[in-house]
Amino acid sequence: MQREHRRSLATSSGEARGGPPPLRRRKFFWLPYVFVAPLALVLFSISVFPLLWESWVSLQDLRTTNILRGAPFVGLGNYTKLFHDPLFYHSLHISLYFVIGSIFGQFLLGLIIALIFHRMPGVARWLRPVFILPWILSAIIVGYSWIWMYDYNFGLINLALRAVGLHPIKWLNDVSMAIWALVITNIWRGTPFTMLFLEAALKNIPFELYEAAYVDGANSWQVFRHITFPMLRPAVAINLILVTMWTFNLFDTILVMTQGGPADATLTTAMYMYKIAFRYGLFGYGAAIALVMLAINGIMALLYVRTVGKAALS
Amino acid sequence: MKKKRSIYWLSQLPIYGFLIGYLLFTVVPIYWVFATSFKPSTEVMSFPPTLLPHTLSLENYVAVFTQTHLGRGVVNSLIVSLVTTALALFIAALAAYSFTRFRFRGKYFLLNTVLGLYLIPPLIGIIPLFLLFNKLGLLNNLFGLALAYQSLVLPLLTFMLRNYFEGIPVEIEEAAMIDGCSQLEVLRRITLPLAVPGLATAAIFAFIFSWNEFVIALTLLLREDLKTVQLVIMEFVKLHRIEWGQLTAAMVVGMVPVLIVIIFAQRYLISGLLGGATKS
Repeated sequence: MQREHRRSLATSSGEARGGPPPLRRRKFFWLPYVFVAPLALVLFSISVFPLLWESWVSLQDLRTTNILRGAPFVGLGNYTKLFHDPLFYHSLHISLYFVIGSIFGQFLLGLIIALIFHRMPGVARWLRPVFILPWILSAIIVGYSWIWMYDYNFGLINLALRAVGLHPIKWLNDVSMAIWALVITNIWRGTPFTMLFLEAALKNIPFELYEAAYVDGANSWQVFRHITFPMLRPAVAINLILVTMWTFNLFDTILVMTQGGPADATLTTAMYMYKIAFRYGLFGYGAAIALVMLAINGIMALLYVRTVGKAALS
Repeated sequence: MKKKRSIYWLSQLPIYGFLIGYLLFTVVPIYWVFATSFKPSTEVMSFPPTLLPHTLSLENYVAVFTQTHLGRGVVNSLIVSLVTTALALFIAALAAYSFTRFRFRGKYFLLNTVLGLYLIPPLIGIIPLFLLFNKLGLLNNLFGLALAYQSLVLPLLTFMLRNYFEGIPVEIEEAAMIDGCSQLEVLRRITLPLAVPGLATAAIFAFIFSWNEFVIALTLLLREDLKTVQLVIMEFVKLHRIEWGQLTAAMVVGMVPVLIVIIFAQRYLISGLLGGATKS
């Protein structure tokens, strides 16, 4: 932004002095358009257009059986059906547990590690590569690793429980336990992002603030309370919104680990949508769920944009 | 003095305890996969499980490469990932350059659209994407899959590269132009060589992303011989019977590119991903 401003000032003063007009720019006025054309074309045809088409699909009763003949138009039928669907409300409920549980663990752990790493760069250099590993493994590998950990007979967790004399748990096959098992897996996978994000934010706090505080005789708790915490707040807000969105939409590990079961105990909204469309073949109904999810995401995205804007201003 | 020091170390104890605890939490599931993959099949299913493999064996690795399509999966994944990376890098670099250096009509509209698409999760568009590829006859096509991946990697890559280009001073380009370079020559000879670290970050990201992705691949690839590594790994799980020895060996093979990146290019990966997520 700033650079552009400086540049436009430079050209206008050049013109005022009677310098030559920026010939090259006039001659190649089409160049920027050519450069962005591939991006615009690809994103329009495989992102924007499909989303528009999806709203049209959501007004039809499109299913695998009538995909070739053409589907009957049902207006808002899919949406009224959705708002009377107890399983949809159930899925929102499950999503809520999943999101709150994941974020709570992931944020707390991420913040503590970020603070430690910030104070101990030497330790951080050795541990950071190991700590980020779960975050860049594929959902398939994360999912099966944890299925193996949770295995009733051969899993390490039950091995440990037996070793200390406790009863083994049927983690993923237990209706009340399964969602928390998924939350633990998701914390394992998601904490590195929060950690890296907050660590980067900590690095951006000017060193002089700490110096001044210590010179004035503040202790480390006071420094955290009055400098680190307030300075970190915008980054925390952005991080929480992003992670909330991602967790709400996340379903790849769930698809691998439980597919929404047992007895729909881990059926988050995202999982429900996928199941409706690709298990039961109800594309129209699935599209309606997707668009309701999009609306929920839109609210969070607006929040994100406003918070980022505010953070940039302060 | 000495006493003070020991008090200091004592006060640090909870911190080290926490770090060790978290380190175990992170490493143990991955260790368990590695350990299982090197056990002979009789030991994998022995109860209680052995913490350390008693006999190291490559039996499972030999089995997955000779008895299953894992090898073909690796080749398919390499094709998809390399095509995705090359295409995305080309498209995103041109666009990002245009966004940083030019002012043109519709620039901010386009930028906001890209940001919006970055925030919309891929899952939302998966139904129409499937219907569209079905209509276009692009199902069961590795290049089609690479095209579909563009919708996921391009928004982030564009922002990553725009941030990088913004860090390269315009003055260098202007100097080259005064010396008689055309706009395209400037891009080719000056800016792109200077942007190599940024391009490397973007390439690593795109490659790892397409290597790891499986939901869209599962939706768009239905034929056996086209399955990517991740989909082949899924095949080891049959109803009520999982060959854990072979499955874990296949998982280790699937982890290889990620491990390589962690070991050799960790810094690029972190800076790139954070750059994409924070600055918009």
